[in-house]
Amino acid sequence: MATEILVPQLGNEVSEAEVTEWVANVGDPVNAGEVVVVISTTKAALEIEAPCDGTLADIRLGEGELTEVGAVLGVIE
Amino acid sequence: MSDVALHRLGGEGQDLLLIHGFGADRHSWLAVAPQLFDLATVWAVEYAGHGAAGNDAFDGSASTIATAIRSAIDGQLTRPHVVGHSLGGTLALHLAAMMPDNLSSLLLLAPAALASDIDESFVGTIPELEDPVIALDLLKRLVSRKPLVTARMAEAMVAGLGSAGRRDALRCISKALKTSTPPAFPPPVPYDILWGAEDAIAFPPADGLPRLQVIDDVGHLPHIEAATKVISHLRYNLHRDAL
Repeated sequence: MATEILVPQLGNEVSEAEVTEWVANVGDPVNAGEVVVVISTTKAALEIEAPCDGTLADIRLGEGELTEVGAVLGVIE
Repeated sequence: MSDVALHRLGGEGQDLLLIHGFGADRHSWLAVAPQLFDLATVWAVEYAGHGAAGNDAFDGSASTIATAIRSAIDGQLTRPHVVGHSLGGTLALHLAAMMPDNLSSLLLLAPAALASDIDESFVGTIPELEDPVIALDLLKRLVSRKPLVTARMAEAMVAGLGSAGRRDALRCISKALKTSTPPAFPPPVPYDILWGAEDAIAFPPADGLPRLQVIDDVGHLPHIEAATKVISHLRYNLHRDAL
């Protein structure tokens, strides 16, 4: 079963963020709660954790790309 | 009176007040604040020289800034839980001494007043930053995992120092930090302290403190590098009060 890694709520004043770093690579096993990707604004970074155990199957947004709340960053299978 | 700006970030529930560290602003709570909107009305205060606050720092002392914060929240927030990072932790301790019956709890993140030592060059350099490359090097000292700080952040910080009076306000606070009267500890309200073991700006007390938890592989920004732990602490406090 595929589980999407989503951009969480960023608050009322932030509409977009940049994908700063993929900590995990496609094919890596990941555990729930493990940081897999980092996004950032011009003010702060946000580490996003894997929502479940599995394997990082796909990266939808690469480093340097802009993203918004609810966007799919990657997929865990 | 020192300038402050109070912002309602969002959410519904018990009041939660966030106080940033020196050189930061309300946006530094990105990883924590929105995750609490289901449980709390989340507020962030910015003090002189930071964010949307004006640049009148008065004497720049922590007690003066805390007095201004107290005035800003008085009548607006009801027995808030308070989170303070670094200088914000010092301000939270002053606030607790001023209004012990009107705060629910403190969560202190690397509170400057309780550090065994402070890298004063860090605080002294921030108001003088003009080169984003130098700013980037400086900001990377804040974190254990260096990719968490980006060139865009450094550029934004230098740009933010450009407004008239901003640097003077920061210099005033920086200078006053060296002579400010330390706040009372332990505070007269329930409290917890989180501190990064790799903090290179405000060094954790070597002999420990009551209710101190030191977090491995975390630098000076627990609310970014250990956001899940910070959120867990706050959710516990907020849930406990709701029962």
